[in-house]
Amino acid sequence: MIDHLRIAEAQLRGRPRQTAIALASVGVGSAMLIVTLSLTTGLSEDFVKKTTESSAHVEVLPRRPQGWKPERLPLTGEAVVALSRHHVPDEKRAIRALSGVLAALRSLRSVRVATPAVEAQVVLVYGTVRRSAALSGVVPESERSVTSLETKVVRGSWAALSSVPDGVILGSQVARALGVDVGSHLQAVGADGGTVPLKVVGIVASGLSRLDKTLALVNLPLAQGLAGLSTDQATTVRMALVDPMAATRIAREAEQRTGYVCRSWQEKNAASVEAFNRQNMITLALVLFTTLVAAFGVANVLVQLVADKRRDIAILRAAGFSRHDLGMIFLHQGALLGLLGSAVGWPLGALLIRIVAALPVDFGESALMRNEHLQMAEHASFYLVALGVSVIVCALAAVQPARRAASLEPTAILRGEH
Amino acid sequence: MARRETGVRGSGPGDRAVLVACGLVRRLGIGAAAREVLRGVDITIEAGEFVALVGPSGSGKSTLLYLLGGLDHPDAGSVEIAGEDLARVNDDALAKLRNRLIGFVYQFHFLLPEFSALENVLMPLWARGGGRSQEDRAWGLELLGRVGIAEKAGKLPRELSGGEQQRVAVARSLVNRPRLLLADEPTGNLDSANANAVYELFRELNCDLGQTILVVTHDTDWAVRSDRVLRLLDGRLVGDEKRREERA
Repeated sequence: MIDHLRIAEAQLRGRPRQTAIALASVGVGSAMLIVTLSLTTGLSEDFVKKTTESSAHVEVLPRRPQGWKPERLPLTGEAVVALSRHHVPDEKRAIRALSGVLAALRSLRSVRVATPAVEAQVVLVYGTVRRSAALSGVVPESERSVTSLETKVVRGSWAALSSVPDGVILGSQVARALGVDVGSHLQAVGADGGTVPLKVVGIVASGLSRLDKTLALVNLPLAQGLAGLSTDQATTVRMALVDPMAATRIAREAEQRTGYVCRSWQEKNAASVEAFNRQNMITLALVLFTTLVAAFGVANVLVQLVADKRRDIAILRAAGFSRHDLGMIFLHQGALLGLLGSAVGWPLGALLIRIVAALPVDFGESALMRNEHLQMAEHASFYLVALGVSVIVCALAAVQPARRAASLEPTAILRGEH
Repeated sequence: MARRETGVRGSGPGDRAVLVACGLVRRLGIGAAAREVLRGVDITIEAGEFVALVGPSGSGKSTLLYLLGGLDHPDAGSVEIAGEDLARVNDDALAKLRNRLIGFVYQFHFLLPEFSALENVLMPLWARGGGRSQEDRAWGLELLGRVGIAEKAGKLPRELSGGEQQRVAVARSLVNRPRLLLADEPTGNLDSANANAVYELFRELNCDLGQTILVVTHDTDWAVRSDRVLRLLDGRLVGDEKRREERA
């Protein structure tokens, strides 16, 4: 086999300055690609992590799927019979026969925990300050398995919720807005005017601004009472799964089993997930343009090299190298610049990831997620993608110079030297 | 150095022709500037001949050499090297044929600056996927020894003198054991001592190896000392003078 690479490499070595400039531009391009992949993936992963840690993977909603009929339930066993009861129109919206629903859900494989909750919009009143909040009545012992909110308690304690029947854990921003702290007593006013006293036992800072601004976590019986529900009713059942990414599939199965609408975390956050994906695509497209600019640099170097090497090309042709061989030599030069350029880009990218990750950031309280630093991800695949993109783009950039080299007529060049 | 099979083949006079060119016409330039540089040239060169092609500047010597070497295509006429009609093969096949049958030496050494003397010598072997075996390297070194610069095998062209560079170019032209060695003013860029050394080298190759050689030259000394002199004037062959009896 003809050693095109050997000649390609030697010719690049013979033009150290031009080669260095091309390598630098490819290096910066691939480093930018690596950093952008790190940033976009990091943000997405952080969003997924925070979302799956702080909210249920699948939640059961208190309504039947469109066109649902009781006959669709797999009617096996008494518990399931109870599930099939029709809603009475003026009943409060709720999941009924809660124990039957829980049993049906817990029988699903890959469901780690299924725990009921009652969610209700309330107004929290502390002195003269009123703030609306999303009251969430939970079973603290099993709720801790569904979300990692327990670990996000910054003041007070999660355990106190179990031992204090009228205890409440508030989102950090709600607490700040009300001006309350652990030990404060306040009132919750329900939608139909019912009022219950609450005692703050903990404050949680999840990093997700939607939660921190509205969360009021109480014991299930208290919320059931405030919402006017019986002890066998809840407004939702929250599930934690072994594999959070399988949530949408499990939601469909749970829907089949219970006859209630079930929603995965991806479906619930579809708008955010969509926005993330769109933003990532735009960012990646912009960075790919950076790589293309680097490719133009490579093309420029190779066009110059072909012009400088006209005589050598003529000699190689006269010595028996075919047009195809000449083209291959310059394609190899492009690929080689891509390969070595990304080798320059790798450490540069790794360094930039660390620098960016160390920079303090503040997106403000209205941001979707709060972090003190940008959450940079780092996977081997980023580096491999940068390598692949660089080699392919640079090889493509070499196509035109390679064609030009292949089309040179040796006689014209040799004659021109005389 | 052992005598290697180079230009000689067969025994009958008809079989001995290494190069047969008939009615070569070549026009250069476009439109009003177009002119006929070669106007029907016929040449036959037999194996083992040492031929000088002479003529004034612009008579078409280099153009003829490029046609004979398959580097350019005639507008009319044909060229056969060792029985292979150059017009019958496509461009890539012609490159292979050139690689197999023809060695070139130019006025300027035309070495590749990034490669050592030995690598430059082996370059035509690379074109056919070889040049890396111990045997090939030994052959390259032997050729460098033959041209008297074996000890400079590892040097880059810029580390060699003009005469040495031309010797490397001669060694390169021989590495594929060509049937025909074509040289275009090989000493045009050398001082007289180096020019004489290169002539002696060609003569040795011709005598020792039976190498068939066609040299385009301005150097009257070369013309006088070669076996046969072809004279080109205004694109026509106007003289074909055998100066020495063909060696058996």
